[in-house]
Amino acid sequence: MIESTVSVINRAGLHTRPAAMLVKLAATFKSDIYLIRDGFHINAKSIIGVMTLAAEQGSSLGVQVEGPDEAAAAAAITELFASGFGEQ
Amino acid sequence: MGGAVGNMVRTAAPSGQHILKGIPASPGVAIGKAYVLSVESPSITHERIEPSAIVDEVAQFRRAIETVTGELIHAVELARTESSTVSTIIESFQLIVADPTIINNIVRRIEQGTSAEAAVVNEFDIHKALLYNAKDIYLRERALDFEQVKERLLSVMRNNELWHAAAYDSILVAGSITPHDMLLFKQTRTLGYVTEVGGINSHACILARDLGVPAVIGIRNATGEVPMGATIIVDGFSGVVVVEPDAETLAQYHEKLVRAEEYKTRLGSLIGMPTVTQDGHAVRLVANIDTPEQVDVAVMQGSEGVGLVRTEYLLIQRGRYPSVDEQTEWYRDIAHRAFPLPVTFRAFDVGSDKFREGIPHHEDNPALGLRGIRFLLYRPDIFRCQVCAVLRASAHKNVRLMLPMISVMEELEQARYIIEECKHTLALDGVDFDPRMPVGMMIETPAAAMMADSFAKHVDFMSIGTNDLAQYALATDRTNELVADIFDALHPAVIRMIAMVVDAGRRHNTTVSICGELAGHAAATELLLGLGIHELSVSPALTLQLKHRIREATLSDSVELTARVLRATSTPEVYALLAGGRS
Repeated sequence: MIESTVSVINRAGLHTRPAAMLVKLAATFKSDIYLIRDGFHINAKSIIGVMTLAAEQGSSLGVQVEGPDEAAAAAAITELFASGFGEQ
Repeated sequence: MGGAVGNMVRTAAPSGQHILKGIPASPGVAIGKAYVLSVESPSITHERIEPSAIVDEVAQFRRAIETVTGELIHAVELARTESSTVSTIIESFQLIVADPTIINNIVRRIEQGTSAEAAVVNEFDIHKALLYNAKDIYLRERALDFEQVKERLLSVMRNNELWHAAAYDSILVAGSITPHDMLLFKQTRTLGYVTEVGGINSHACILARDLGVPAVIGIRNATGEVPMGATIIVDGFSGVVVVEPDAETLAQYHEKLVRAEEYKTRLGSLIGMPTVTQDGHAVRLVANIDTPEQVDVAVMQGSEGVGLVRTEYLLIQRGRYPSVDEQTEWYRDIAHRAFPLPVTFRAFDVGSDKFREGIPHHEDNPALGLRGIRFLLYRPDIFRCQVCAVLRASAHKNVRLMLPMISVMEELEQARYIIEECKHTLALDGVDFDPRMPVGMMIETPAAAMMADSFAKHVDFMSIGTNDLAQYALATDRTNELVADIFDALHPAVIRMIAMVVDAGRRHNTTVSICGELAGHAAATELLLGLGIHELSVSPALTLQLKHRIREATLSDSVELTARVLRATSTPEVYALLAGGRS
């Protein structure tokens, strides 16, 4: 299992479009991927979970990845957050 | 499916012709059997199930998920070839259907003895309620997606295989329709659409027009008024649906259909012909487009340029504000495809019912809020980015820029200042662009129309957006079926405003064009000629019909007709005059 922390740096926060990007990316991995906020575990492959997480700019989230491709998955998720979801 | 059979039996005793009035949403005529999709009733036949039924109910639910997933995959493929704008919407449906949290919760509910139907309703309703109450407008808008996915799952669980294929060769009558349904029904040769709700600018209506399928929307209780299997006529020109037409009406419409087909073949020969009236008055016919591919279609149909590129489709497609380079590439692609014909890019018309990303907070009244140029001046970073990209695409001097939703002079001044700044920056960077790229404005607000004389001095061209102008002039949201019947771009108030703009343009030698729906309106051609419009911008599919109508008309008769129309006091009076003028 890989655990890390990511920050939401894009202006608009984790709203619908970034949420969709995250879910689509998570779904490409076999591993279980969870976002952790205030002790709540949210399945990163669940659009309703990620959308209603309502993580705004500046918030930080825990990421927990467990499974056969956990290293690649954790790296990809971290990279997506670091890129600010491609927002300018 | 018991319900459907019952309805068909009922139609065995014809009750005579009756006529339903709705809103015309996509032109054309269709005659066929009605396939009625009854609105999914929220009432659930059984709430609790026996433990022995659990396995079957779970299987039924999983089959429904599989069926809907399959449909969506198919729809995404179709969307890629038929209409790129809807694929992102369909993708959001896919994410919901594939949501593991929702699926697991529903399965758990069934395992605890709730029926599959009840489990789906209960689970989706919780999420829907949560989204409806969200602070964030994007989240609130997603609630509708959840509702539509829920209804789809329910209908699949209730009707099983009876679905798109069952509507083969018939006219679909439904409460509302999603864009992906429309694509799937198109594959089964659905002849036309009739819906109870749905704004004329909804994705489904835009798609119906793209697909060339006639549609009438906004008929209250259409699914109750039209029996399954009844013969109906959909007149997408007038917004009329005739149920069980009598022999005479049917014959009239059959003739209309045959004429429409003949007309289509005859139109093909007009492609290379000039757009001139019988008495030699020339008008420019250009196209409204959303994607680079549509430029090719427009050129093929004989358009003399692109009168409107709705650049917000780039945003809807990408779901964000693309970088200068990305935008430049897209604009260049369009400009190259059209070259040497001119292309008018309209700056992002963000806000209102369209793309809302970047609007800082919920607006109680978005149509009167931060939209069009107001948003662009509020976010000059986004505006600069776009202006630079359009300028970069202008090197071959066939590019024009148009500013949306200008209502006061200060907006035009500020926008022009930013455009000059961008030119300065590009010049310093040694980028090749057209330093005299024409800049024009949309006339969409009554304020802009009333002040057109002042604006005309400061722009290279003016283009009238008739839908918004009519919406603001008549204080009517045309997507609100409670008041939609007041909305009509042919109301005398709107026509008089257009006349004012044309006069202002004439005084200052500024071209006036129309890029709104009115440009392609079959009844309005002579009026627009008579008003003195120089350029009409329409969807590529309408180009040849419009050219045909112009070539049949004379300017002198049109001017005379227009003088009478300008004295009319009501919309019906305008229509009566226009109909008389054509006979």
